[in-house]
Amino acid sequence: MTAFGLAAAVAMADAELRTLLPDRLALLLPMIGFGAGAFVARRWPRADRNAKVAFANPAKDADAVAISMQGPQSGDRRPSSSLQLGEIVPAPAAEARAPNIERVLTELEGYPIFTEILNGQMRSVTDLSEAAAGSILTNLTSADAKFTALLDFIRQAGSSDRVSNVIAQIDSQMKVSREQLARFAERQREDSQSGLQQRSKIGEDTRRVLEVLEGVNGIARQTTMLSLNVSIEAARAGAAGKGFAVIAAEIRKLASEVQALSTDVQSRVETLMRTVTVELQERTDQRELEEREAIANISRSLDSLTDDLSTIVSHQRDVLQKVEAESAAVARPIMDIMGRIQFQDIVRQQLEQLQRMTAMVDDHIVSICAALADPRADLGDVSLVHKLEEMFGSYVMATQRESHSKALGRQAVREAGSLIEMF
Amino acid sequence: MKPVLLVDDSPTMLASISGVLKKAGIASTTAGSGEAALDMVRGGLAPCLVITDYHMPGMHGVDLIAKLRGSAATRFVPMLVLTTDSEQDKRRSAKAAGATGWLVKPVDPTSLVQIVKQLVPGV
Repeated sequence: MTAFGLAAAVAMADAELRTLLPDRLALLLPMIGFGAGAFVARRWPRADRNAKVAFANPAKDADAVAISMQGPQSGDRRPSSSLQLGEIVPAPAAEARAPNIERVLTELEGYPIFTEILNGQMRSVTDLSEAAAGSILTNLTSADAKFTALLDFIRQAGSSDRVSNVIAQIDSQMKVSREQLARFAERQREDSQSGLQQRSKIGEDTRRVLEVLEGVNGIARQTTMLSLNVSIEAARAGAAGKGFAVIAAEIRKLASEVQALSTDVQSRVETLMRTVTVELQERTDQRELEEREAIANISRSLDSLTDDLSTIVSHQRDVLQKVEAESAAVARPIMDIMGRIQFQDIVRQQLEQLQRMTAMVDDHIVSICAALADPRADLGDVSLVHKLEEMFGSYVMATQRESHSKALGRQAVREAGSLIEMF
Repeated sequence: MKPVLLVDDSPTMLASISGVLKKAGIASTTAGSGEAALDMVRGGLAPCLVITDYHMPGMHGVDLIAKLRGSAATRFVPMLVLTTDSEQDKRRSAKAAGATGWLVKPVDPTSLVQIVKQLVPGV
């Protein structure tokens, strides 16, 4: 009976744990189940295990009883399905069983060692799952922290504020450059205008100089004519006019030199005027043209820079959006894994419940041993039915109650409350 | 922002739930027992929400809730029981003690965050 009780407890524990443990930890279950199963097989041959375990009760003499667990009872031909748990059925005569009582008693008294081994195994599973869960959480938290730091760095490096600041700075610099270019172009235009005016004034002054020189030339020509007339008059005067003839010749010569000098100066001034008004103008025009082209080139370069900057900003915005989307996509499974680690606490509580159940089995065995050892001992509530009900009452989880009911072939009672209930 | 106070005797549970809340941008602080949680509140901690286990060595979750309801700092703070226990009697006792809700482990992380945000808007 006790072996069946233990086997039933192990079967229930196995069913519950398999619903909760991850695959790796579930591998340990056969070890526990095997240990219990092997013990039961060793102590109770299959025919007995599947049939009955009977205990003599001298108090009732020939009415020795057996308590049905499952399967057919010897002396009872009904199929197992028709027998009820705890049902008392007739057993063989006490004389036939008496020689085995001492041995059964000895075996049963050794049970605490077995349950201690079982509890040790369960504690080991608890420790293992707790260490594994702790390690998973630690590593996950560490990986998440590093990933979050990386995302923060990317966000900070490419944040809208930061990009806006860079753009504003570049835009400001470009604006300054454009203004400088505009001022330079304006200065060039003013300088060009000023140069034109100056060249025009030089041309005007030069023309006046040429007019003066023309006047000088006219005076020289008139002086020459005058000296010729003086020479003629001096010739008429004869000897008295010889002196005047010499003076007239010198004056003519002087007028001729003045005219020659005036013509030379006139030629040079004209050359100078051409240089100033034509050649210089051409060079100035050429330089202004080159400067305008240079300014246009710089302006185009600035426009190109602005376009490139806009492209970079747009690309940066795309990268940020991608990073944000990926960040959200990664955060969800990380949070989910963290939440799923709750399984360890549930497993721990399940295993602690199993340890309490093995303690109940131990108590039960001790009571049975006492009853076997002393025929006058009061059996009290030494009933597997009572123990199983006691176990059922100690459950806190719906899955525990369900697997217990299932093992006893009962209809599981649906739990009334929902998993999340707000009052 | 005031933190969420998590109370559980399981370090794994505390790490799990605080990790979930942190991922959702919700600050939390932890206590390994009901007594430790009470000490923290008496020491000046003013949580925006309390999430406590039911079965803990020493003071259990509903006792803790009843005591916290008697404290000025936590009188009007929402309090949730997060436990493997699904028994109706215990739920009723929790409600009578002033619990705001009852969550059976394992609670879905997204649902938990949703509940916290509903109970503490702007958290």
